[in-house]
Amino acid sequence: MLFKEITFLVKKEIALEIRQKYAFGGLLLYVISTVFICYLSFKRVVDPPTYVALFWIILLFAAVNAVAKSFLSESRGLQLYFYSLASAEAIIISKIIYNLMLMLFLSLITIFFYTLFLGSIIQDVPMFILSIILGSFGFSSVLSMVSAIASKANHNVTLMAILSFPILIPLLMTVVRFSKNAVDGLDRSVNYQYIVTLLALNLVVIALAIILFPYLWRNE
Amino acid sequence: MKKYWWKILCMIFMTYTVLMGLLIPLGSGITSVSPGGAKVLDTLTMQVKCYNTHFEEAKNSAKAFLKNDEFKMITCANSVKVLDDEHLELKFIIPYMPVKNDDFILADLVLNNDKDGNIMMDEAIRIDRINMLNTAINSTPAPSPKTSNCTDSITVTKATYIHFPYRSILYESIRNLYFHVPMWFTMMLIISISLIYSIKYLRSFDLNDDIIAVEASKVGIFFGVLGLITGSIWARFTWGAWWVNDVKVNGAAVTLLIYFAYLILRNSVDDAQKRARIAAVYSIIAFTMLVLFLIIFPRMNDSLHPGNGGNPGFNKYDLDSTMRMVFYPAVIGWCLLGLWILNIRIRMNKLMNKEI
Repeated sequence: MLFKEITFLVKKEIALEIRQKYAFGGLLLYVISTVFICYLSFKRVVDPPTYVALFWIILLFAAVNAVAKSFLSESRGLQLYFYSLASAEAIIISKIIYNLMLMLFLSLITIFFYTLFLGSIIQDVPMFILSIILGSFGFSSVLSMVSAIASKANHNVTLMAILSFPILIPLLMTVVRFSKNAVDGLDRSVNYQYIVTLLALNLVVIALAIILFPYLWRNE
Repeated sequence: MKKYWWKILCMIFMTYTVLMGLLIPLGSGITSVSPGGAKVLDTLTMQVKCYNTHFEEAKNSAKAFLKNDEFKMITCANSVKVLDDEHLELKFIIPYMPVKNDDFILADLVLNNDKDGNIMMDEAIRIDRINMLNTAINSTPAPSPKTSNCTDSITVTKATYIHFPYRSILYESIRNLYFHVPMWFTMMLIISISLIYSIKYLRSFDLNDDIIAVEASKVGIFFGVLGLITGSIWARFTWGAWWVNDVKVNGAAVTLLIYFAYLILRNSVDDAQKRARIAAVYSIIAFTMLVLFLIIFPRMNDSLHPGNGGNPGFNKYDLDSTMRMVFYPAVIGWCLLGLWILNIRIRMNKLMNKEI
């Protein structure tokens, strides 16, 4: 039953997105503009720490905008209608899955344009892609949870940014170190601790989200 | 009396902490020695500067030794001249030492007197064996002159007065242990109370639980900020900078940011029940992050703080029984003070809500 609800909700989100292309187009534009501005300032980045830090900052802001748009743009009435039909756990899980897909797509677009404009100094590409995937997972779960909270508190995007940045810090620290190791081309066994940390963090946040979300949705 | 026994206990412990923490003197230590080097078979005249010693009082029992790493005595002082309470002039005659692989050794200086007990300075003197290269192969080494009060082993005695340990790097700032550390304990305690009442609210939907949760988080933030300030002052004194790039320090700052965001979140919602619900949910997330930042991450990474990142736990590091005597009452006193502040704030908040 839960699985059916989740698949239904995810399909609905994707269908809405394909129809309107609102979040999609906006984010694409956002990412390309940001990368282009960086290109104009830096021209070419050869220093691994700068490369990695710049990439993750661009991705961080794009992620916050993406998830903010997805949750906060829905009108109250529509929400109420849809969500009286489904259980709270299904809603949050479907949001996380949808945001995950959005984030994956977004990060691949970002890395594509990033390497196009600023050159690629990545030595261990599969590990870098893995770091992007795990990072997207983390972003989507944390940001979905935080935007659920912010949407209850007057739909304020600034509030979402304020709430999410401190919580994202451990995730960012780990993923930046991981991707920097990948850019430097270090031996893969060095990164196992980071992969484990990222998976554990994701698990903790998703568990928290599933437990706490029903309390947010009650009475509404 | 039954209702406020703990408040009286808090006052007693806090007074005790502040008085004892600030008035008990630091133990004796050697700050500098000059000159720092000598050769074998030399007569070395050394000026020693100490801290918190009482040489004037214990003039007759002042002794000095040079020893090597394995606690074996190299020589004892030929003459000990007391210049004033904290300055000494020592004369050593460095004895012959057999040839080994290195041509110098680092000797530790040990002072001993009846009042201050045993004081030691690690690696005070560098003794070179260059003299021996000049002597002919077949000549016998010069015998070490006999000194009258040289015994076979170094006397080890304790000081006759209560004192805190003298540790390099820390010196007098070791007293901050009674302020900085209990404040963090208090913060952990009070934020745990906030978490418990947040969870209670989600189960009961009673607004009183929400009041306790929010006041507890405010008081917890207050103690956290105090902890950061005391830690920053301590860091300036011992590590040389107001802020260091340390896992626990950064983690503490981020945790406080998360709790500040909690307060902002509360202010952005008007309806009391809704606000309480949202705040409770966020408070649970915030506490998870706190555990992650302050407990899990420091243990995994290198850190300057004792107890984390490969440093020995702070039981062995700088707590000896004199310090423990003041430390445990300090922790209890500060925790009770935090709870007292929390109690007053909760009652104030409840009264304000009644008026509206």
